[in-house]
Amino acid sequence: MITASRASLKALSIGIGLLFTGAVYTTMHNNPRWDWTAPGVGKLPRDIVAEFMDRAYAQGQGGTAQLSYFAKDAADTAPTAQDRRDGAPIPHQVRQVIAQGMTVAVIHRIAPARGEPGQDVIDVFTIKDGRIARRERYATRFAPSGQESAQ
Amino acid sequence: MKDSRVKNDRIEIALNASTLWRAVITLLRLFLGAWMLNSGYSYWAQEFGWPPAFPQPFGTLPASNQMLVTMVEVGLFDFVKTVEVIGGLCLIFGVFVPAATLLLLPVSAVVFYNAVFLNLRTDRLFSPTYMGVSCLYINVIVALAYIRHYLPLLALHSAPGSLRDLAALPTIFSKPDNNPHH
Repeated sequence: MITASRASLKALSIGIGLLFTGAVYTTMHNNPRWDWTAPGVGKLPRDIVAEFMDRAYAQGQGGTAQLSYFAKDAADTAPTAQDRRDGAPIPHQVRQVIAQGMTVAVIHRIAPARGEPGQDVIDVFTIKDGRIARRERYATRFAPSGQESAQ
Repeated sequence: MKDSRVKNDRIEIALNASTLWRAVITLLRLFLGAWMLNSGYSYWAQEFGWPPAFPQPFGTLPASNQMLVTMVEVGLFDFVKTVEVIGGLCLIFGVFVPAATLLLLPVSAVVFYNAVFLNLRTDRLFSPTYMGVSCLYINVIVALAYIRHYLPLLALHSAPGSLRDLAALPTIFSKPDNNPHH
């Protein structure tokens, strides 16, 4: 039989709880499974893609952006696309963004820029561990204005 | 035989199985609280630009991806992570423990569902270090330890009271009993 005050037991349990909290934080924070250098770590896939496209198109820093936003082993069906190179900003108009899970499809019209003609494309990004793990580009052609109604 | 007796603020603790059970439950309660607090804090930390314990995981398999991303996008995660923070703090500081344990139970159940049924981690179903399943196990064990607080909720026959019952609300702040069942 041991004797203790209720207050000291309470303080002890709180102390142990805070110790557990710190231990969980430290253990989880330093877990090597997280790549803290990934620009999109913990962010929503659609936000990661939006950040990359802002850098690559609006700011014209695709070359720099792709180094961090694309995983080193990322697959890209358009590896030579202008949005993976630095240069003048590339005007583009996003028609629609469709996100489901880690997949983000961006339907956009890229204006003529850097000596290349404009094009309508569907970029389908797959996100993994805060980076773009795959980008599939599908060329398309938007219907001219006024011809979009159903037949 | 009683394992503890109150003498003013001092209690006598017998070194027996009952005390061991209480110690184990206390440690499980504190660990569950610590885990929930870290989990909830990490989500809000990223929202406010603070360093999280870990980045919000979005699952491994597509069904898990969809559920977690959608929960964040529709704002349900704001609610879930707030529950985790409040519940975690209650468990750590030992206040409103039965209510907090009950509050966290649905969260733990969804975590378990996500791990086992959406990410198919059946290989770690009995892994104590995998919190995807362990948080539910711990949550259930702690809830069972406080079952006497839930028994009135499980009454087969019941009748509605009146709003005057709210007058008894201050009694929830009364001093804890000494668990007369032991």
